[in-house]
Amino acid sequence: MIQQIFNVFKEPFMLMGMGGGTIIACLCAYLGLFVHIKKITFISIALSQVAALGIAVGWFIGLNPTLCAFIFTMLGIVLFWLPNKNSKITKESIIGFIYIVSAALSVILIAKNPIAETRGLNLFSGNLLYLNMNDLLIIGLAAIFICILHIVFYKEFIFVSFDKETALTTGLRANHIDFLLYLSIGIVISLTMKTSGIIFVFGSLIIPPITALIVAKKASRIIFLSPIFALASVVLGFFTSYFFDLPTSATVVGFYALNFILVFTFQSVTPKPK
Amino acid sequence: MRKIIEFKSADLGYRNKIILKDLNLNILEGDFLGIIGPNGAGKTTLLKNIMGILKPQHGHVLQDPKIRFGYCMQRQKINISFPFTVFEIVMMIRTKSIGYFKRPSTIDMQKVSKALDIVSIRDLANTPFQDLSGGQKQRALLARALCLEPDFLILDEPTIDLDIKAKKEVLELISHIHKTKKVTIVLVSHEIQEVVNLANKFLFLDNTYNPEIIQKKELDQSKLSELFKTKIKLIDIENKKVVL
Repeated sequence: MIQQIFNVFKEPFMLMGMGGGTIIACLCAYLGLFVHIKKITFISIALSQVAALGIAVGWFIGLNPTLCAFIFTMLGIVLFWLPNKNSKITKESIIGFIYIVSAALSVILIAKNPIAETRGLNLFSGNLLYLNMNDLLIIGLAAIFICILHIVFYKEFIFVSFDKETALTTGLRANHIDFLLYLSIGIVISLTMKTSGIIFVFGSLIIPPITALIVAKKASRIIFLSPIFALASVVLGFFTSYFFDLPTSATVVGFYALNFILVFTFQSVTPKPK
Repeated sequence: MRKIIEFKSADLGYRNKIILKDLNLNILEGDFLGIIGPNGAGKTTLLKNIMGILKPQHGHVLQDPKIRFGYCMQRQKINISFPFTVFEIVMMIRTKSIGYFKRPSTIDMQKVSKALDIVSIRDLANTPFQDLSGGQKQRALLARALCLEPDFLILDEPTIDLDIKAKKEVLELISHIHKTKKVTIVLVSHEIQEVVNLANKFLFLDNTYNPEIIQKKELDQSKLSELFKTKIKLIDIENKKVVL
């Protein structure tokens, strides 16, 4: 058994996939905290779908799919970030519209594109095991950029996510900071969508942060716990998918869910201190 | 008294909708202005224009550039799903003064502690905001507004959904802050009873007439009945006004 586990590390595609998957999962698990504070869960799923549409368009017209995903996601960010000035249509309706239209167009474009089908493109579940050195380099650079951005603007991102209205009254450039935050979420979604798929990206944005929220009672601990939960699920998910021949992204998300259920159950049955 | 906010023929609202039309009013230094009106009357829109985070659709809103605002938003708008402590929430207001890529200094820490002292919840500094009672949450938000040492305090429905004891305590605290800190206060409420004994000037918003600021001495039951288009009684009990 131990020998079999060591064999996993001899497979370059597994190492590459696990490395890339870990970076993506940890980044998403961290950024997911802002998704949670800002209450923009539906924006993040819609952005994931817009990025997926960008990839489908890229494959269809023969352009770099990651570049197309990036452009589409940036357009989506601008659209979601701008205040809704039409009182007859709510922002939620616009998000829903963009999500479903992007999903429908992606399906049509892939159905009409034999190249996409033959290359096994699966925007929904992705395939982390197809990750190559170029992908890893892009993900690594994105991670460095996001880390620098969040080290410099961490407290501003927290304030604007928590209470943008009050932030504006203090003279803080809250709209610009808000846009930078959306930008960092958009960069991660768009650059990782081709290899990871919607399930993995969205799952990493949503489940590890809420799991950490159940466990920790302090914001500073949640910020570290969320990526740790993501990391543990990625490692377990990769091994399980290797030994049982399961789709990797979906298996990792399965472990996210298992983590959440275990933590939730444990918290529910443990008596609370008085 | 110095004029610190001036509305000049200002139409307030959003692109498709004007909520308050042709507004002409002044707020003077040291005023305690009570703004009263039902939901949708434009109270929050007016506040946003006072603070300059919303621009008038037409006309002008002139603001003394030296004003430092302290904004106490509606408690219900705060997202309580994330366990920020009271201290963290109050410290957030100092984000701009701390500066990018910097940690709060000892002075920032002291200012937060002082603000918590003013509202008497220093002992709750490390308690998650989500675990506080309604009255304590309101005190925490007041501390946050006070932490920038403002000269203009804006309070948006500070007593909404509070029980009677907490409501009384919060109103007394606001009155104490006005007297001791000499700040200009604008307090928004949809309950006239709450504001009538606290403020020295009043603005009634109802979309049906041109709003104007009324002095406390002008406020009598005939004026109120005229404004609200219904018979209102104003009774003095133990030097306090009771609205019936």
